[in-house]
Amino acid sequence: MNFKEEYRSTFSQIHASEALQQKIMEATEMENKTMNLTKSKKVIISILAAAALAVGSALAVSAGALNEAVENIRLFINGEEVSASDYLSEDGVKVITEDGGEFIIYNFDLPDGAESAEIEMYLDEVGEDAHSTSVVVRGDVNTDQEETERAAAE
Amino acid sequence: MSDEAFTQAVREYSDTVYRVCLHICRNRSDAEDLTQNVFLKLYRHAEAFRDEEHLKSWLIRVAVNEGKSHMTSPWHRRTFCSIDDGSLEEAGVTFSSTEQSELFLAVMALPPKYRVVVHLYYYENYTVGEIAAMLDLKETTVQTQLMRARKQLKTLLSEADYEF
Repeated sequence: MNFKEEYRSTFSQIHASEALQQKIMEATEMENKTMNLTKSKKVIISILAAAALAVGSALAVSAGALNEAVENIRLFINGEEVSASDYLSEDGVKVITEDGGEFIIYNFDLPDGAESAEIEMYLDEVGEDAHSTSVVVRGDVNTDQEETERAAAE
Repeated sequence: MSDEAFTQAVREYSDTVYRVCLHICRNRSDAEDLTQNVFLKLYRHAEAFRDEEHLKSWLIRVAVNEGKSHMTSPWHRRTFCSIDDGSLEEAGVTFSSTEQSELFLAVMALPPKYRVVVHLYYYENYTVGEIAAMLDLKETTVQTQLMRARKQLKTLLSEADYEF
């Protein structure tokens, strides 16, 4: 008896079940949904006081995933998309640690008469950590603290 | 890979991947889990394949690597040491003849590294050189493994008098 023929005849009777194929397709659908969910995360930066928006003001962003996502930032100010590069220059995006990134916003103009504005940042292709992304205004890391304080006093 | 191409790959190669996985872990449940993992990796795989053969050999290589990781995991060693004996029941298979059942059990009784090589050689029709490239082994290693596997199979299947 030829071993190869008998081997092929034996193992050709073994198949991946239709249930398994279905399970694979379901798993990939789930994977696809998860990928889509993590693709677009919304991070809202609330600027609470005009003083924080002086030239050189800094926003400390606490999110592990942000560091990987800085290239994919879409910046919305008061609901309108603006060019992130106008606000986030190469120097303005600083990686601190894996726990967060630091964004320094230059020359941010508040709408006339407004004391605060809302900035929304949409991050593409970020991980699940972005769920817990939070943003706080941190005036004390301002590279130009004196100017901020002066602006606040005025 | 497009969804259509992925679905086609599942249809075309799920048997191939499942058989390789079954040769590694010898039980249906683990083989199914491994097969699913392999196709999830394919789904996440960003690079294009040159042709169908490239895709098939990639799937086999990933299946073997997944299987190795699984078999050496502490969880597997703790959980499966008592039932990992390659029985027909564990594998979830039935055959039309006693000879085929005996052949299956003889192959499953081989050491793990021999089982995959035997399968790729006798079932998938790969050459020694192709198997060596796929499994990142030297050709002489594959030849030696095949030779030793044949020797064991001849002993285990002596009554059937196979021509190897």
